[in-house]
Amino acid sequence: MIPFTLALALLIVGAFLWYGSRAPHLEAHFSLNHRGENWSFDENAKKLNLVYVGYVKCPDVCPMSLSYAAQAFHKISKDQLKNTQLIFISVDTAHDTPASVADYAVQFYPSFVGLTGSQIKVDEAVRSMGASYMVEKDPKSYLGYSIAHSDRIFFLDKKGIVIDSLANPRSEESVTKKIKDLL
Amino acid sequence: MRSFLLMLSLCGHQAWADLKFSDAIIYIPLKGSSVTAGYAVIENETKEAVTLTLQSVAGFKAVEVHQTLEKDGRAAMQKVENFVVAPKSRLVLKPGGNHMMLFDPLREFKPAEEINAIFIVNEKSQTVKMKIVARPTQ
Repeated sequence: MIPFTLALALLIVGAFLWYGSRAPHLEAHFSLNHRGENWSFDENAKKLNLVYVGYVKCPDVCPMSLSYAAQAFHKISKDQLKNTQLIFISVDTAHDTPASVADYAVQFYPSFVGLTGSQIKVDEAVRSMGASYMVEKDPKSYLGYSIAHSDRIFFLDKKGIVIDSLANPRSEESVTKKIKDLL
Repeated sequence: MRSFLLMLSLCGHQAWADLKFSDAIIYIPLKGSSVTAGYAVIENETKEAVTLTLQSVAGFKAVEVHQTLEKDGRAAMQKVENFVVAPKSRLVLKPGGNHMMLFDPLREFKPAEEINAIFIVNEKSQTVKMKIVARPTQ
């Protein structure tokens, strides 16, 4: 009887420890603006959705990460491509327009979706994935500001659940591998 | 990264009195954005540290040098006044690190076009030819 009780106690303790150590469950169901039209994640989600948060006037990490993602889209099979999309969300709600963000995104890969929206809606979308950004004033700079933002590709399933992420995407291979592993 | 390095290898070398520039590129400005970036490998072959600032780039209204760094888990960019290249060493301007930032293109550019960038190197003006390249998306 004692071994059984002990085993049960260990099982319960183990279950608590496992539950406590789980990654937080993140789920995104955003609706933003695509070329003046409402674009809802729930209505447009594919089996695998890559989301990158940045802004159009970012000349360095955003285009680098989107370039690697585009290269990955050229590497995956047609079937994988059919089930995958990349969504670029601009957090520069004060300067980027739905048209400029959409135009920007498709230059990397024709199916890339560039979205933005009101600050409230963008903030909701960003927070729901566990991403973040911060507008920093820089009066000495020509632009007068810059935006520090997550440099991470978030991978969402069709239900909007964040199933994985890739920090600092610095190669096509790393993005391609994630897509293939997750599909 | 491989595409970026390959592209850099296609660009030439430019030697100056104090600094040798190579693989000097500027990404063609993207539609929707008024800002782009430039990169290069800068080698200081002298025995003294060299201070470098960017004065202008033909065809752009304004230019600055910036560095990207990770701050509180985010990628952040900040303007720097100049770069210092240590004696007998090289400074690599590369994506995700130190870079040139170019604002408001005054005209359209074509891939493979060469434009002049004027740097101030140890208080002397030096012109560097930079190649316009497309973003490597394939």
